[in-house]
Amino acid sequence: MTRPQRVAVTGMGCISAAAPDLRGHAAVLERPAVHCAPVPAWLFPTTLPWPVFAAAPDPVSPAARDLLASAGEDWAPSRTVRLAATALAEALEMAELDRRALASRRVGVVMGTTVGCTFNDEAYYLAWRGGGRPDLAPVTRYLSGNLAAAVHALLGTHGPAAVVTNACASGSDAIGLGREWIAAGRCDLVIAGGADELSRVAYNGFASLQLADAGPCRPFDGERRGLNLGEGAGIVILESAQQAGARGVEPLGWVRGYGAAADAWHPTAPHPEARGLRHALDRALADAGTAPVEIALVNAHGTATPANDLAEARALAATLPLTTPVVSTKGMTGHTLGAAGAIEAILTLLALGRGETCGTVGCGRADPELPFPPLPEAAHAPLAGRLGISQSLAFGGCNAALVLEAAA
Amino acid sequence: MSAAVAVSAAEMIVGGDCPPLPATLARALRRADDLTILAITAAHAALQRAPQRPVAPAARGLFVGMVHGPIETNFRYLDSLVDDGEGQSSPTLFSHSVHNAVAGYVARLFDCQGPSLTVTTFTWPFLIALDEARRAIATGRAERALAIAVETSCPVLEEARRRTAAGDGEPWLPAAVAWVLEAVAEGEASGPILTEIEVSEAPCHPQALLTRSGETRSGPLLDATDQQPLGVALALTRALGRVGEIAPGALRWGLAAPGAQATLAIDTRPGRRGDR
Repeated sequence: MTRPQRVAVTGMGCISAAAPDLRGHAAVLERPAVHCAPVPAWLFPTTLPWPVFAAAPDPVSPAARDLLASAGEDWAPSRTVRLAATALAEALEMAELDRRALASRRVGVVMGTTVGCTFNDEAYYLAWRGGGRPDLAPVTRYLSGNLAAAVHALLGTHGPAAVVTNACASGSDAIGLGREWIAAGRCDLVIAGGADELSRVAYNGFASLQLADAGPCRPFDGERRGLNLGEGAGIVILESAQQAGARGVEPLGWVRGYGAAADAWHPTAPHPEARGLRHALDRALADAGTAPVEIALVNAHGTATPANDLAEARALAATLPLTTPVVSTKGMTGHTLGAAGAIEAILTLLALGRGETCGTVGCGRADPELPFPPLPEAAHAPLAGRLGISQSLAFGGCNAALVLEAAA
Repeated sequence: MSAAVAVSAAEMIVGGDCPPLPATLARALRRADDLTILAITAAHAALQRAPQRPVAPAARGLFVGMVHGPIETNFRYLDSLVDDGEGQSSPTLFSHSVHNAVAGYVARLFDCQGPSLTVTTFTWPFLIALDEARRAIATGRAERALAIAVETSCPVLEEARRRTAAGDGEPWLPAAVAWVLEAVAEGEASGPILTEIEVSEAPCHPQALLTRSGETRSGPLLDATDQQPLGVALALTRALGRVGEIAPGALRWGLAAPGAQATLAIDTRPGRRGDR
């Protein structure tokens, strides 16, 4: 099998609290905004004070509504699936693809999520626990909510399908896996990304771990206290450069390299020297055939927890020139868990395409203890190239890095 | 892909048939849930059976497939949230309710610092994990890889299944499967060579995923029992353990279910080596 030279990104779709679509996210990179607020009553009830980044109450775009309708009126998709549908519809339109065009192609779907694959229906569970026989609709919703299967259902396609559940690295790993599938000739195109909704369960879980900040998060700041949860979806359309050319579609960029590695260290905390992330970065750069000095931008995981940001900075200091611009975009989106890696890969490509990056929203004064200086909020930086890295760390010690290149 | 990939060991644990673990592992599992203990037990057994050869930690990959994963731990976390109240829920249960918590334990206890991937589908996630493990070795991202599938029983879904039209099947058993995959070295392969894995999914009705009805299997040595989430992984592991009963050669297994089709092929002829 001849390995294609490049895996092209021919479509992108994105929704988060920052914006409902790709154009909105591009605008936010120019004029950063923070939509961080207490948990809205329409989302779920809580007595806890930790703010979140919530998308719109109805996150479904008109194009996504058409997609969802095509899957049947008896389907009541989860909020995670509806977020994914919005990003999917946008990505397909940008890639000049529709259901008819997909029908004749080998389509792979690989999506990352955390909340989206969990049976979190409290009302059903409590009724069952009390000896009741609750209506089975929540069970049906859970079983029809596997993101990869749901995307195939929305499009009427069939092919390889996987939901990556590598916790907060899932979105990055999904894009990396999609790249592998295209490079191996396994699919004509791959729909890859991640989606996750805000849930009361995850919200309380992160609160119980004392990882949340009572105010807007401050990635890499000396006063950072923790993360804010968010929700959203990011989806990219991947295909070989040859196929994109044959279809007459101009690539938006390329996924040049992917690396993943385990910390083999702790259930929730990163390795203090970021052992796994360093391995992942080395592998991604080698996979891309790229030297560290060629990297013009790093979109870090940057959750704003003290341990994460320190570990990341140590890995970057060991891998890249200290002059490389490093930012976190979670100050604009919150931590969208399984969607984070995908949304951040898209933001990375957008910034690389602009040739400029905004600073790290929430980082007023960079932590002087960090061995790698991040770009603070007040700064903007021109980018010296079109190659960048988007990286993710996760519970379970999973680490993933993507080397991305924006089209000229 | 270039390098050939062999299955050097395959083990499974079903129900309460869980052999004791060495004290060092047992101690590290004090807080672990049943799902993790099952997976560790199967992985330990498989690694004990595999050829003992040095493999650098960074060259050890880990690929885990789950249908429902830590669903029972998630319900226990819900118990904690409801009974103890907001702000008082158990951080330990929450951290174990994440699907890749199992992979985190396996990586730590067996020092697997290579690629780590947990995947979830409602049909045959073990085949996805196995295929990704094979690809990781074939493309040089790992020299050895563990492919694991693990499920616990789930009374909530069992009760839902009983209320459906086809809900009178055998109860789901807690079980785990672990295969050790190796790059074929200059010498002879240490087990059957994986020559093909293909999995394709299409939309299907959710009820079929609950009842596991309509699932069929074909090919030598592959039994048709175990209509439960881990059924295919268990059947393949049993079949792999019996390949010595038939003449060496190429074996092909076919799987079909509502919304999915898969093929897995191996070559058991001795003396195979080199590229595929």
